[in-house]
Amino acid sequence: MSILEFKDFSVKLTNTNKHIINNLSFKLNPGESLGIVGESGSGKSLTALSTLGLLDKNIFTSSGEIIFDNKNIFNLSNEELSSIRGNELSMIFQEPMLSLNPVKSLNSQINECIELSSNKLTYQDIQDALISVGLTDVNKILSSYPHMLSGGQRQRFMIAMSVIRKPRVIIADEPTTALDVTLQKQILDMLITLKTNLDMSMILISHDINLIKKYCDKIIVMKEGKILEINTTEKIFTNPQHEYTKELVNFKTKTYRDNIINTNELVLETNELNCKYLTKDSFFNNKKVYFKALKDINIYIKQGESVGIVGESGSGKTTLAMSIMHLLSYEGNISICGDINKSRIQINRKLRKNFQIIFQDPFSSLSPRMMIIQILSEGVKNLLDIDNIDDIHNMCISILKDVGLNESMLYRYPQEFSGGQRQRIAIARALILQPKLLILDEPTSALDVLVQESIVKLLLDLQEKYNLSYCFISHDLHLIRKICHRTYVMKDARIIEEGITKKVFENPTEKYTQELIDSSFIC
Amino acid sequence: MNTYDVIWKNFKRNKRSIYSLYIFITLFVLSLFSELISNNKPIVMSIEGYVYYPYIIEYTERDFGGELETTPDYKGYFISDLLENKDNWAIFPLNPHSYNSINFNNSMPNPSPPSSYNILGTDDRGRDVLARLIYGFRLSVIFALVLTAIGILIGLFFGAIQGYFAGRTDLYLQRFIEIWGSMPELYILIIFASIFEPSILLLIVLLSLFGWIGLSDYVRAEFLKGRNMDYVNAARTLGLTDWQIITKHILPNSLISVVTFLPFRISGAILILTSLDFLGLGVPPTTPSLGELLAQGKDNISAWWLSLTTFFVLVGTLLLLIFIGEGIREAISGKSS
Repeated sequence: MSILEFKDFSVKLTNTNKHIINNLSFKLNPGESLGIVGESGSGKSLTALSTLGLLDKNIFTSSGEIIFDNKNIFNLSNEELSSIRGNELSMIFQEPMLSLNPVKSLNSQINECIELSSNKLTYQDIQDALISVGLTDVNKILSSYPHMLSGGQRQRFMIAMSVIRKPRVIIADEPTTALDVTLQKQILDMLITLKTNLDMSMILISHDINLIKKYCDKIIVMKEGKILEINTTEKIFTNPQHEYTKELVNFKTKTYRDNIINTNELVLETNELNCKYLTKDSFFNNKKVYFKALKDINIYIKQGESVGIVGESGSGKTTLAMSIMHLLSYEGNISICGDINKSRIQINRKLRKNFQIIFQDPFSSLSPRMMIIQILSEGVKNLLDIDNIDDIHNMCISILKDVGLNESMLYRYPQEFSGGQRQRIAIARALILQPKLLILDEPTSALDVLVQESIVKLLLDLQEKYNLSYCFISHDLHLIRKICHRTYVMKDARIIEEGITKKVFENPTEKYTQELIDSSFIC
Repeated sequence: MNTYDVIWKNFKRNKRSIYSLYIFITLFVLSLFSELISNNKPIVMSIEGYVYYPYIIEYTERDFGGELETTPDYKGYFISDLLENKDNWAIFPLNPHSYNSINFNNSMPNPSPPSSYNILGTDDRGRDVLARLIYGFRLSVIFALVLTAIGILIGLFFGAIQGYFAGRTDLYLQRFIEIWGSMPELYILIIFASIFEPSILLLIVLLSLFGWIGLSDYVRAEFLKGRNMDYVNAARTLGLTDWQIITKHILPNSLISVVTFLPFRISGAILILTSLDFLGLGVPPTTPSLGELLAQGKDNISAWWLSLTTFFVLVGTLLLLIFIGEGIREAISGKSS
């Protein structure tokens, strides 16, 4: 008998009557772990929230039944719902920093769970729960506040809070998306062990089907509020039925780019590059404390080559990109296209046309008050000295064609476009200047998997067409493998390993690189 | 759609605010033509076959066959006698009084209650209250607009510099603003009012010295947020100068706070002018001002037509502005939800 069952469950927006979830029906059996996979906007988080009866009735109208333990969630009173939430059904949210109260100590937050519990729980139970999620220094953790813990510790604490009352079902809504790759694996491993030990059922929601395949018995693929496919994990991967599932399962290929670039022309070379941030400054005396974000970086990129830079967050990847773009001050040497260096750029701003950057978040990299034509033509006017309006207009149209958009978009504003389209516009803004070097700072991490795929394909085509050099910064090893000829691995502000991508991935010399590769489930 | 289009659409949905805006604009535009609505000079007049335009051209009494080389009193005996003749005619404005023309033919003591001649009565010097209200409203609104515009320009300038350059620049300017802002504004006004001849210009200068401080804080915060956005970095890589980045990229994105502030600042400025006039620290006595009328109303409690009418004009104006402001604020916050 199933513990949780959805029967013809639908949700629509009350004011527009738009259906967000359509006729959802599935069952969760005791002890089973079920994965829900889909792109953003597919309704997976709404499904999770509605299980706990957390949907705002003013905004959403729902129909159908959600049956938990033979009771329909929608027929329960608020008191009955409260007694189920946390005690029997528990949830883990995506962003632990936002789901913990920043002004209360962790001790008082976990004690809240104990007070609400239907069973008598003691300090011993707290201790057990914290140790079971891997937080062994119990007293220190309990006396601290959320901001004093690292991201991984916070998520562990959240998990401890949700399992302390030994619920029968646990719903994890993208529990590791906000974390580094190396942490993701640890957290998921820990979660699945807990599930087995406490004999719970689990719903694991993710946008990454490859990440959760190890942890789920059954997988539901959702798109636009509908279930496209529901099957056991094994069958989903060996014999996907739906086209969309096939794309999801197959998009991570295992091929490397192994054509070797035979040229000695360097578009980028750094020499003993150092960068530091002021972390403590005093007005009256000269006691200054610096944080070193880059230490002795030596990298080079050849004409037409793609070079990957990988590492976890905080390793200095973005600082490196900003230094190369000359957006912050650094020590050491950066030479671009042979002879462009810091002092020449300061004198002649127009040299910037040779190197451009694509930022991570396409939602903040385009000014919301400017039309696409203004965004595209700004650099042309400033760096290429082209003033003729017709010329600029023609350039904009041809570059939009290059990135797969059409000219009807020229007189619209960025907020009218999707994330993928915006990232294409950002690429167009950089490429219209015909740069030799393009720095890509996690260009796809804010996008859905299949959109990522199309952007990557675009980047590869453009590289071939214009003989571009890419400096590709990412924590996603799948993308690096697909795009980059050579790879640098960064850790704690240093380059710790470098080489041909295939060699680095298959025979890493550093222990850290091996960890990184293991946790990406790349093989 | 442009954000400002969205805000305008949301704003129009709020009936109270949109009507307030229309009424306010109509009243203000009408008051700009006060000379045509309320004046003691005829717009056109014809005497012995000749057409005169006293409203536009300055005539002397001699032009009409009199003796004095001064502007005639068009309501006085001399012109009135001329107009007795059936061939002569004159078209007076709707309210045939100017803000400082005195009704000498009044049979009642000043301040005199409303009559068919002075619709809202006269003040304690025999001047028409309606005329003074119309001119006073115009002066208050223009004064407020100028003061607000200057305040916004200075506030934007300092806020933008502080927020964009941050660091040391921000630190020093912020300390300067703190010291500047702690100067006692009212005492400075009183001191200057006793040294200089009081005038509208002096008031604007003195009030502008302090009026920008609150706004610059908001602009600074918006700029501090804006300077770290990716599109600002992108603009730098496109080779834009600091000035171009401030004006083209960050400023349009931080104007929302300024727009929200606008109606409230205007109503605040009207209130400041009125209260200073009420205290006798504001404009010179001949200038039509709402504050001076209120002061007269306080001195002549029984003359209800002084205090009540001024009260309604003042409250009406402030209410309209506050409704507009409320509408803008809701339109902007509605955008984000």
